[in-house]
This record gives sequence, structure tokens and C-alpha cells, in this order.
Amino acid sequence: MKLVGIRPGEKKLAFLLFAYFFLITTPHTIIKALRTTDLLVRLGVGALPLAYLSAAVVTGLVVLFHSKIQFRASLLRLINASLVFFAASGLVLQLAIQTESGRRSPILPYIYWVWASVLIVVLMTHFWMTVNEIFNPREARRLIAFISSGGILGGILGGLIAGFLTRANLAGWLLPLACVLLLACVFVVRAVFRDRQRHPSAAAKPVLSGESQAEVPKVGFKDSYNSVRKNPYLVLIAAAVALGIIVSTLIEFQFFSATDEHFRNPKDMQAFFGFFFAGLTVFALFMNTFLTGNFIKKLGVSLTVLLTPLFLLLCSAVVLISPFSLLPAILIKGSDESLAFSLNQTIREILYIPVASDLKFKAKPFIDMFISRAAKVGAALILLVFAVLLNKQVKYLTPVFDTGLAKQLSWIVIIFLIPWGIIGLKIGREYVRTINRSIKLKWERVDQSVLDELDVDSAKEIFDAMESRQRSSVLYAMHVFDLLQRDKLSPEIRNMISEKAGEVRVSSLSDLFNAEGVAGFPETDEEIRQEDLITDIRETMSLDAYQELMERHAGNVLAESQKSEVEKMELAKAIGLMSPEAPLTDRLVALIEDFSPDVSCYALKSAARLKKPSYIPAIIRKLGSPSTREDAINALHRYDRAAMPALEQSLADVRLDLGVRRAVVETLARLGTEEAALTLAGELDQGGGDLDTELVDALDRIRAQKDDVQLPARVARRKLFSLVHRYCRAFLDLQEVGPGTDSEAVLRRMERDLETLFSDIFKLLGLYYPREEIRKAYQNIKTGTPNSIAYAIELLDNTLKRDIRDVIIPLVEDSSPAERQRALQKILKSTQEA
Amino acid sequence: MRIAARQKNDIVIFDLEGEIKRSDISDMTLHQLVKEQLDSGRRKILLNFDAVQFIDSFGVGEILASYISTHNLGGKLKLVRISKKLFLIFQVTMLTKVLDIYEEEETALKSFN
Repeated sequence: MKLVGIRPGEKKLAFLLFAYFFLITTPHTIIKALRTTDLLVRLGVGALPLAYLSAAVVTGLVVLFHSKIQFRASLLRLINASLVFFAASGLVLQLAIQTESGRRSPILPYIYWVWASVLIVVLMTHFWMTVNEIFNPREARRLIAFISSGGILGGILGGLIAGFLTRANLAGWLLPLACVLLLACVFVVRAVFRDRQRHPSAAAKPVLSGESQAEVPKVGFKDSYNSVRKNPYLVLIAAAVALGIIVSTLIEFQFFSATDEHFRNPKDMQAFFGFFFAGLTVFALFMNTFLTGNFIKKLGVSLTVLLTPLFLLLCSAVVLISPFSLLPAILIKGSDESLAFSLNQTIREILYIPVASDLKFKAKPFIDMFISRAAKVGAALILLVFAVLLNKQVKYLTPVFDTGLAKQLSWIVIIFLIPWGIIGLKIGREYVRTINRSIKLKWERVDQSVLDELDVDSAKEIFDAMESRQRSSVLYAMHVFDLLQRDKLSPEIRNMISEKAGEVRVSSLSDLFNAEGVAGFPETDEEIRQEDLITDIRETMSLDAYQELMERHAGNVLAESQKSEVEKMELAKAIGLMSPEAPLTDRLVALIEDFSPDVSCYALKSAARLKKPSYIPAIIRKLGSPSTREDAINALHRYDRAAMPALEQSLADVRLDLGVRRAVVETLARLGTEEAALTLAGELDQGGGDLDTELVDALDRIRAQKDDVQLPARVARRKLFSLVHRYCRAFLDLQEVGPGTDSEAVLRRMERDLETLFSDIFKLLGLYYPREEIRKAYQNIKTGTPNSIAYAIELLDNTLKRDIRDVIIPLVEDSSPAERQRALQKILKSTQEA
Repeated sequence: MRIAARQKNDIVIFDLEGEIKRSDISDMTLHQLVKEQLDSGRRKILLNFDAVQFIDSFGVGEILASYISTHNLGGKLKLVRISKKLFLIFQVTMLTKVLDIYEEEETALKSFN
């Protein structure tokens, strides 16, 4: 089961869908061989355009009818009713063909053709609607190839039955046999829908926005048309489907022209069709088993969509340069049909998966039935116009074709293959965008938003002003002056911190404002007096006499270690209010270095204002202590570029305490400049790895603000492989830790390390891939539903480059413990070599 | 300042006691304790201020740093039972614009869901 990608719990449903597909493709292949021979033998290849037109018109009417009833009946009921209808009508057709008038009728081959065309479209659409409803993109990637194999096997068996029974003169049993198989399918479909209810993905909420199927109002053809028209992604799918159908029809015409020319005996022709269809499905089976999955895995969905048009372009070139005969016709038809059955079908169904259930329910039948039939009409008209333009005879809408015309048709095929390829490119890009849109970003970093919303410095100043009231009236006055200078002394704040706090009409605050002897603010003429106060204090502080006096005071305070902490705090605060040129400011270094965290923090705040380079070494030393770290970081942040040389030096100095270096990283993150990012990236590249988590987080923080800041690809790739290597090692080590009390703590620590590494890997990815997409993927993998996890992995699969994808996807892919262990061991080895 | 941790379902509640001041920090700061819980995979943190008399600028820094660390990881950090006087200062300083503050523990716990 592992070989075909089936996981435990999926076996029954996968096999039922395999059987469902098998039981519709076997009769489909038989009927296709029968109706083609019937038409070509009785009316000739010239009847094909009219057959295509009639089939398209009738299918269009069926689509209209289908769009009316699809919301009134459940999908199960629709499928069963269609199966029974086609089985019963097939038997009626068989009876009609066997009558004398039926054998002579020129209309019956067209009816047969149209009936078979409608059967193919309806049954296939129903089958893929069922598959789409059940699986998410990751399950689809794993299982569609297996399920498609059921269809391919059905094609082989159907073709062989048609070939052998025709050779054995038992062709009359072919249509009744096909009808019996359709009836048998009814039971399989019932079992599929019973088991579907138990499948976890079917029960999960749809990831894309859109109402649930049950809540969708009854809609018809117009709604289906509008739902496609309004959605650019669906328009692209519809265009690709239409171009694919046109190309296939033209190729089919080339092929039937060649067979019509080659075979003179109807029995040989019918047997050939039987064996040919069986043969090409063998090729399709080979494609599906060995190539489809690998193409998708290696190239991703966005590039795999281009393979079919590119390959057909090559085949068309072969048809053009070689003499037109059955062999090149077989090559191009075989390629087209086997690719359509395998690669194209799988990729088309995967493309539908990110579309919301309700939207898909409206759009898919419209595209698969109506658009494809309309494209068939287009192809028939193209054939007619082409014939007319080349001056061929046209009798009652049936031109007389020859092999020369069929060969020249390759030019028209090429003309349609080119836009198909271009649209394929656009679909690939739009698929990734649709997957991206289908998962949501669950949270964003708040570092900047907190700073944007709050004036943290002023808030802290207010808290310190309140706190200073209990220490010293001088300190308190200086805080008030500070707030005044910053224009932050609003009436509310003034009331709250002033002596007249008792008047604040909040009784619970009464105990907060009980400091005595503290000057408040006179209530009259406030504005003028405040401005005067600021000017007066500044002037006083700049006076030589004041500086001289304060110098003496500072000398006393600093010389006597027993001097109170409060006096030092006052001095530190006062220095911060002075001009940087004032001689007293040189005393601040000693205050920064003071053993008291309160003194040190007042001094650090003053340093942040004065920004004298001589303070920087002392500030950096204060990064080591938890009680002064935040103020030291703030101070260095204020220095901006002036602090960069010292920060760079400290970051690279491995002799420094790790706490200091971590705080340096935090400071650089807050600076958030390109220069800071380069310094961090340099350390990430050259450093010993002990600061990796902090460095990656700091770079992530800078990138959150500045999207243009990107980690050099060389550094990112090297570091990513190193982190993935460490993750795999940690994961495998964790598996080896046995149970027991002692190992519990170790286990928890290892789990934490693993979690950190996982987060670091994604932050690093976000430094050189689109950050939002990587964050979305990470957040949904960590906290999403099974469906959103699948979409997140699909997004990564289509975003990351191949070498990176190969080491990231196994870390996140839903797999058994044994599978994961094997995958991680493999990555461990490859990253070691890298 | 003393900090005790307890847990209710998947919510970690820190009971804070005393004054959150730089001159009164114990072995581990509030932010360090919060980060430890985040490292253990817990994402819902409630700070109980019932027994907190006052905080200084260091305390404000610790609360904001804890808030940022928690929310950067997709978690939630909320405050409960803050005194009226502190609440008023939080309002005036506009900290209430960022921080979720609840009167009762029960209400705060429910708000996480």
C-alpha cells in the first residue's frame, strides 16, 4: 500500500474509487471503439465535424439540464440515475442498431456518437466531482495516480474486450456488456458514498471561503457561468480545458483520417480501435505509475501543467516533417490520449482542489461539460473553415477530407498549443496564489505594532514619576519637568501625579497621592508659567556657576560610597537634563556603572539623551544584568548608527557573556536598519551557532518591517541546511530517549529544542522567500486543521526551490513515525554532505 | 516580588505579589518566566495582579516584553485583578489600548476560548 501512497484508513475508499473508475472506463472504451467504427465505416471521416457539432449541442443541453437539477438532488442520486439511464438507453440503442431500418439509417450513427459523447462527459464529470469532494491536495497528490490507474486498467480491459470479441465475431455483445458494467457500478458508487462519511477530510471544514454545499442557494446555468466568469483562476482552467479539447479534437481528426485511409475492412478497423485504445491505456498506465507522480513531485504543479502542450508540440512537428500515414497519427493520438488519461487528468483534478466546495460544485460541471462541448463545437467549426479555406469540397456540412489536409492540420494544432502553454504558465502561478489565499495568516509579530500604538517611553516616565514621589521631591520634580518638556503633561496626568491628587474623582487613588512637600502646579496662567519654567531651568543648568556648584556636589556624591542611592539617582537624572557639552556630563559613566540598578537605570536614561560616545562601553556592560538590560538597550537604540561599531564588536566578541551578546542582537533588531541586518547576517554566517535563534528572530523582526531586507542566498542556504541537520539529529535523538523519571526532563528539553529549531527553520526560510507565505505555511502547520495543514504543505511544495523543498517537505509531511525516521535519516546524511 | 505559577486547563496563571520593580527582582524576571512557559509550548498566559501594589518602568517593560513574546508566537497574554489605581495609570498611559485587562479571573479565563 505504501508503494501507491495509501495510508492506513484510506485503503477501502481508495480501492472503491479505483473500482468506480474502472467500471466506467471499461464500458467507455468499448463504446468509444463501437461508435467510432460505426460512424467512420457508415458515413466516412467527413461526417466527424457534424458529429462533433451535434454531440456538443446535445451535451450543452444536458449541461443546462444538469445545472438545473444538481442542487435539487444529491451527487449520489445524480450518479446512480445517470448510470441506470445510460445502461437502459444503451440497451435500447443496441436493439435499434440490430433492426433493418436501424442498419440503413444515416441518422443512427450520429445518435450513437452523440449518446456516447454525453455518456463519457457525464460519467467522467461525476466521478471527478466525487474525488474532488473527498480529498485535499496532499491526499490527491498521493492517491489520484492510484485511482486513475483503475480507469487506465478499465481502458485496457475495455479495449482488449472490444478487439477480441470483434475478432471472434461477437461484436454484438459489446454494447450489452458495457451496459451491465454500468449497472454494476451503481453498487460501487453506493459503497463509495457510505465510506466517504467516515473519511476525515470529507468531514473537515472547507479551507477556502465559501458557503457549505448545503447552504448554497439553488443555482442554474447562469450562476455556473457567472461563478466561472468572475473567478480568474477558473477562467484560466476553462481556457486550458477548451484549448486542450480543441487540440485533442483536431488530433483525433488526424488520427481517424489516417485510420480511414489505412483500413478497408470494417472488422479490422473495429479490432484495431479496440487494441489501439487498450495499448494506449497501457502506456497511460505506465505514465501514471512511473512518471506522473514523479513529474509532480520534481516539477511541482506549476511546471507539470506545461508538459502536455510541450510534448504535443513535439509530436505535431514530427507529423509535419514525416509522410502522413498511420504511424505518425498513432504517435500523436497515442500521446494525446495517454497524456489526457494520466498526466493531464491528474493535474487538472489537482488544479480544482483549492477551489471552494460550493464554487467547485457550480463551476466544475460547467467547465467539464459545457466548456468542453463548446470547445468541441469550436474544433468542428475550425475543421470546416480549414477545409473551406483549403478549397476542399463540402457537402451538407461534411467536407471531403484527404490525408494532405489532415497533415496540414498540424499547423492549426500548433497555433492552439502555443496559447495552451502560455495559459499553463499562468495557471501554475495562479494555482500557487489560490493555495496561498486558501490559508490564513493566524498572527503577526507585534513588536512594531506595540511601539506604534504606545508611547512606551512616556508611559515609563509616568510610572517612574509616580514611583519617585516616595523617594525624593527633587527626583519627582525632575520627572514632572521631563514630562513637561515632552509635552506629555496632559491635565489628566497632571492631576494624577500632582499634590492635588485628592481632587481626582477616583476615590481609590487617594492613597497613591499622599507624598508630602511636593510642589504641584498652580492652577492659573498655566501655559505661560510652564514655558517659563522650561526656559528658566535650562538657563540655570547652563550657567557656569551652576555647573561648578553641581560639580562639587557630584564629587561628594560619587566619592562617598555611603551616599544615598537617591542622591545618585537625582544626580543621574539632573545630568540628563543638561546640555551634552556641560562638564558635569562626564560624571555619568560612573553613575551608569553604579552597583544600584536604580541609579544605573537613571544614568542610562540620561545617557540615551546625551548620546555621548564615551558612555557606550559602560552601557554595553549593563546589557548583562536583567535589571538594567532594557534601559541599556533603549539607550543604545537612541544612539542609532553611532553605536554600530561598538555593537558589531561586542556581537563578534565570543569572550563576552552570552547574555550581553543576546542583548546586542536585540538592540540591532530594534535599530532595524539595513546595516544592522547585515551585521546580524554576518554573525549568523560566521558565528559559532550559539546565538542562531536570537539572530534568526532578529532578522525576521527586521524583515517584518522592511520587506526589502533579505538574507544573502548563500548564507541562508548554508544556514538552513545546518539548521535542518540539527533538527533531524534532535528528532532522531528524541526517538532514542526511553521512558523514566530522569528522562522526562531531558525529553521536555529536547522537545523544546526541536520546537525552537523548527521555528528557526521557517523564520530563516522567510528571510529569502516571500515572508507572508512562509509564515502562513508555518502557522497552519503548527495550529491548523488537517485540511489547512495539507494546503500549507502544498504551498511550500510550490514555493520552495527543489533542493530546499527536498529537505523541508519530509519534516512537515504527514507520514508514519517509521517513514519520518527514514526520511530524516536520509536528510541527515545529505545535509551532512552539503 | 514573588511569582507563583499555576495552571487551569491550557492556561498558565502567574500570581504576582509585591512590587514589580527593578530593585526587587528575584532569580528570574517575569519575562523570563513567561518565555519559559512559551518554550514549553504553552500559549495562553494570565497575569494575576491581585497582590501587586505598584510597578515601575521596569515592571512596565517586563509586562510589554512578555506580551510581545507571547503574541509573536500566536499566543495570548492577559491581565486580571489589577487595582483601580494601577488601572487608571494604565489607562492614562494608554497601555489599555494594547493589553487585555479583566476584573475577574473567571471572565479572563473564559476570554481565552
